Amino acid sequence: MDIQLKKGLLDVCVLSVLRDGESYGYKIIADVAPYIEISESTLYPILKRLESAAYVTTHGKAINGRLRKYYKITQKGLERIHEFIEDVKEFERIYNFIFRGEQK
Amino acid sequence: MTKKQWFKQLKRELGALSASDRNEILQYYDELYNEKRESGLTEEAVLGSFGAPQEAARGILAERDLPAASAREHRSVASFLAILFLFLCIGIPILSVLFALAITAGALVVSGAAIFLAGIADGVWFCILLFRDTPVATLAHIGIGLAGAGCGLLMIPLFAVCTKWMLALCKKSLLFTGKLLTGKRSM
Repeated sequence: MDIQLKKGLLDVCVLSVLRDGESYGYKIIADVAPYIEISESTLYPILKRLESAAYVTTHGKAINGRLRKYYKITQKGLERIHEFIEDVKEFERIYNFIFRGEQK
Repeated sequence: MTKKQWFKQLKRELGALSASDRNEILQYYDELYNEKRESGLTEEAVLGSFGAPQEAARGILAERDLPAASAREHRSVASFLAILFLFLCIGIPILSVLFALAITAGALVVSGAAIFLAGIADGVWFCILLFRDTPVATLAHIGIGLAGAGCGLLMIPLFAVCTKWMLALCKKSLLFTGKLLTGKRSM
């Protein structure tokens, strides 16, 4: 898959995991992994990107005597998911056009 | 590779980042490491899943358009020569002075021991004289001998510490220069 395309997809995948409630690094990877290839070193830049775009907020929570960083989706993050879905609809029309061309 | 080694290597690879950014990344990996360990994976398996620290750092640094430490250009010939020149003109004189001081301190340890022994011998000799005849001067001599022995005894540990310290400094500066020359450390 195209790197730029995958990058954009991963961002939205992480956001949609967070739509179900705040989460943390380990769980986000576990939730996203069945759908798209993700690793610890790819998740970190995504989380940083989402945070600097204000799509997520972070806060630490003490769990078993350790600090766990939680990520929570913002209104802006929810809008980003919606925007992506609209993009996909448009992409689908283009895809159909390309696909028909191939069939001829 | 142990956890400690892996994290140390990662920290090194992230050398181009600010300390706070670097710590954040190390914390991120530390958190994941602990979660994975708690899920039942061994240390080796967790580190295996993280991949090489170089790889982990590359992904993160690529995002910021920074090269990983291991991928950075090798030290240019000019800077190598500059460091070599610095070493020859400043490093060697400093090293020689330190080494000379170490030897001096070492010699003082030996002379301390000699004074101690001489003092004892002096004391003992005049003790024998004391039994033959008893002028006050002989008694004074015993005092001088013991005082000498005391001084010698004090010199030994004092200068032994000095010697050790100077030699340690020599070793440190040699190691530092070695690292500079091989490019493992930047100025």
